[in-house]
Amino acid sequence: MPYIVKVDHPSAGDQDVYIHGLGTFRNGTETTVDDDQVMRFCIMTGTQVQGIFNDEGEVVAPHDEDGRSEVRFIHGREPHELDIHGVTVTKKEEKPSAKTPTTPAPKTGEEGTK
Amino acid sequence: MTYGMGAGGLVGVAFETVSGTYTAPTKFIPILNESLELKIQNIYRTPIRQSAARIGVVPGDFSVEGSITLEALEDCALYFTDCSRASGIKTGATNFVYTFTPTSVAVPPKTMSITVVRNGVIFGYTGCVVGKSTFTVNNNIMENTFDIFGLTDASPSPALTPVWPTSVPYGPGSWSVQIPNPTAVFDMDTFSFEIDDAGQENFRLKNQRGAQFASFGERTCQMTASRDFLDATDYTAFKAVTGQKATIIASNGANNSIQFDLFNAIKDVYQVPLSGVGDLIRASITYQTVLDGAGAEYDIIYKTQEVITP
Repeated sequence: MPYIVKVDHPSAGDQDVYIHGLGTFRNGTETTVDDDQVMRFCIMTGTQVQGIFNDEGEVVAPHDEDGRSEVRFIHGREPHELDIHGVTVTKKEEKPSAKTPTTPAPKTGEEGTK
Repeated sequence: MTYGMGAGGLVGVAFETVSGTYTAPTKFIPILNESLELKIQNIYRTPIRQSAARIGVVPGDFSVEGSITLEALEDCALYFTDCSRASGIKTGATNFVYTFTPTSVAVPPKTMSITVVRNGVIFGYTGCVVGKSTFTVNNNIMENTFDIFGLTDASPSPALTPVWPTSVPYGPGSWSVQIPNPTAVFDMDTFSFEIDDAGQENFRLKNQRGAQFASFGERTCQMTASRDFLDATDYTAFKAVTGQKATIIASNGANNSIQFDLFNAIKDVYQVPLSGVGDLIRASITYQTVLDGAGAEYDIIYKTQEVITP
């Protein structure tokens, strides 16, 4: 499912701008970005979280009684969910084909790995 | 949270509509390092009361101080110069020329919010002004250091996804040095051009802590440089306290450059040591600027596609 990156940055003028993980775009243009690139963006904007996690993946304590804790890598959000100054990212909805059965969209975003 | 490192940090700036009111960043600046901090001048109580200890503290006034060093990028340095004690004029369309000329105002005309993210924690320094600007050559590229002073840390919590500039630094092959202007010279390898407006925060008796306003003081503007010592011509000018116009241009094409001019540079230090058997004989020179006959001191000219209103 492609994403449309529209750059209309008020101060960038006639220049390229770089969004880490997503690519380089000319101000004033619209560019299509594919799922792989968006996944790369989510990884590159991910963060580490340290603590004791519950089953829902929430940190419930900084460490256990012995001072131990776990570190998880949390993917960043997809670009269309973010407020990026001068940039609008929209997720291009694909019309489901009549012959192709629809399947649930894969869960993206916060995804923990140990 | 977990342990963080500098690579994950970022700095963004935005001009403030109302000085001291936090504004989320509109321009993200690739930096080499920064040292901005909130300085609190607490008053520790030490009355004589049968105790050698400090018996308490009175919360003091606070302000923001520190510096930011970056590769000199015309579209980034522009923002800091616009918040210094200089007046900018913008010409052109698409490819803009911003010419900044020093002024003698007492208080800063324009302030910025500087947002720094350190290990995911957002610091929002408000009312920031550039008190001192330095253009120098380090590691064969031009670098800027801007000494910042400001009002406070607003501790904002905006969601920040930066859009980074793609401009490139000025390295070998991008230089034009003219001393005296317009005579091109090829004997300089390093320089440091500094403008120090002696900026400071001012504290007054009032109903809340923090600075009341920022001000500038006496300006000093100087350049230090290392040049090959080939003959006594320049040394003679030093002895005679002869003023010269010095121009340095760093250019990455016709429409992207940083230029500064010292309109009447006086050499007040001229060292030509025999420093060692194998050492080239070089001159370490300090240029001080004074006004020329037309009242010009220095200027800084940025050619860029960046769009701001100076």
